[in-house]
Amino acid sequence: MRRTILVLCALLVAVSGAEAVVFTLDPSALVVSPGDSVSLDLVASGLGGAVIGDFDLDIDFDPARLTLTGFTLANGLGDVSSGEALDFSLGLVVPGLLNLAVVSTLSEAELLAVQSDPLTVATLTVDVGALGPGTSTTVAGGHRQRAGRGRRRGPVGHRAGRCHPPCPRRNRSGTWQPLAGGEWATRVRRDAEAHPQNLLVKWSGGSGVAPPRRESSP
Amino acid sequence: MLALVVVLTSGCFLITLLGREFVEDVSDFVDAVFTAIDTKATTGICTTIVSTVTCQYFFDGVPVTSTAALVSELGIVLGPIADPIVLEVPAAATNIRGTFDDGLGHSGDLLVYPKLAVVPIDDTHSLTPGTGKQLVIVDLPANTPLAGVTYDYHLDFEQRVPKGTGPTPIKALFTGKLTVNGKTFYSPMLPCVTSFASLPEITIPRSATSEDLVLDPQFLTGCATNTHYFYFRAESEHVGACDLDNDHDVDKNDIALIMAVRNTRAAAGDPRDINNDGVINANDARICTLRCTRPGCQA
Repeated sequence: MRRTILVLCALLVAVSGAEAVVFTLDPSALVVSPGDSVSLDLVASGLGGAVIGDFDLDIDFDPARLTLTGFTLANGLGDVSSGEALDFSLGLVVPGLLNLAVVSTLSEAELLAVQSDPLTVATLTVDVGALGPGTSTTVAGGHRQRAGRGRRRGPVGHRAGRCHPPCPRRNRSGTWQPLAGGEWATRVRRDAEAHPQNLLVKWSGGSGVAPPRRESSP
Repeated sequence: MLALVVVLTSGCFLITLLGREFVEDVSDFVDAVFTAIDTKATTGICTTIVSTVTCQYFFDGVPVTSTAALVSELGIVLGPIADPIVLEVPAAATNIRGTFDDGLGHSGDLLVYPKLAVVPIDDTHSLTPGTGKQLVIVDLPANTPLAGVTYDYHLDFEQRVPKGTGPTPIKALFTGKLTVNGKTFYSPMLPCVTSFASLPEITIPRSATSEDLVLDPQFLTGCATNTHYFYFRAESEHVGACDLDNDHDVDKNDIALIMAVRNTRAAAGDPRDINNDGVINANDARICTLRCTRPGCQA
């Protein structure tokens, strides 16, 4: 995400009046049942006449509740199969952490011709697993920190080159550590520039139960 | 014809090696923190006259001379010839960092370019790491005083290894650094080899205390006077900087070398930090895709 942010910042400088580009998941909320398969679009908006030449995004979710069954890159940065874009997605880095990364080989003029606003850059499909009645889970744009003294990457749609909210701590083994969705979502809500990109997945069963409790609610 | 003579001197790296290691058990693995190399420069001078670079190294009082001709299209070499070290260390080594200090007020962090898959030597030769290894360039920052200065060098790296793992072998190569058309080359000077496979290993023992590592000068053969490195590249600076695998094109293989280390901090001059913003990321890759010399950036 940091690299996306950097690109977008450059575009903001280069394109007068351009809005801050943000990535969101669409739909932003779904009511589902265990066993459902959910399709989510990763959408960039606020291009304001600028183009996206590359992106590198992490998407966090609770692997105990959701299972990623696949993802498809859209052609917004060019067709990967025809060499218009290069796919460097790491895929599922660890359970609950998906990385998507694409670098376009198209010129800015060519990108202008193929990109719209909003722009769908990928579609994710997830299966809903164990989700108790009245509970919810969150899929969130996240950031990651490389082992050791790696660079931090800011959340999607944020201009700053630092983590905001703060970067997650690296776990003991040095592997990726999924974000705590609540912290992320809460802080995102405070940030006027960043838009929440959380998918609230509720279990629809269990009539008469208490109001849904959001485990990691914004 | 105007004869341009460039004479430069520089301090040299790696005269005495001291290895030190601290070991801490963590479940089935060991967090091994190595002080991989403590280097102390004694005497070493590299001189460039026209296109010939001559380095004089001293190892425990034993002098080793290395001379090579760096041949460019103009027949002369412009710019300073520094003497960075190229190391081959385990691929799993991380947090590679180093410092230099002359004890007289000149000190700081060494420039370290880790996880390199290719280090260009000249137009047709490159250094590549062995299986399970990575190459690391260690260099002094720009504008560091070189003439008449003796620096102490300290280089650390970390590695997670299985319990009971033996000593860590590394390899070190002194090079001359030369920039042509925006692309930086590292010509081997000591030992005078063009492959790390030909280099003797330096073994870092497992010890809680510092230990001397002895380099045998007989394995440190300098370049002979008839050693030539050639720099006749036709690529522009615009393209050359992105030809990271040194095969005279820019394609997705070069882009992959950037993306392989994405989201990492870059020391000044790291060849993969194309936009020189201090971090290697997809934006650097994007810049190079716009410089691809093949359709669709295909290899």
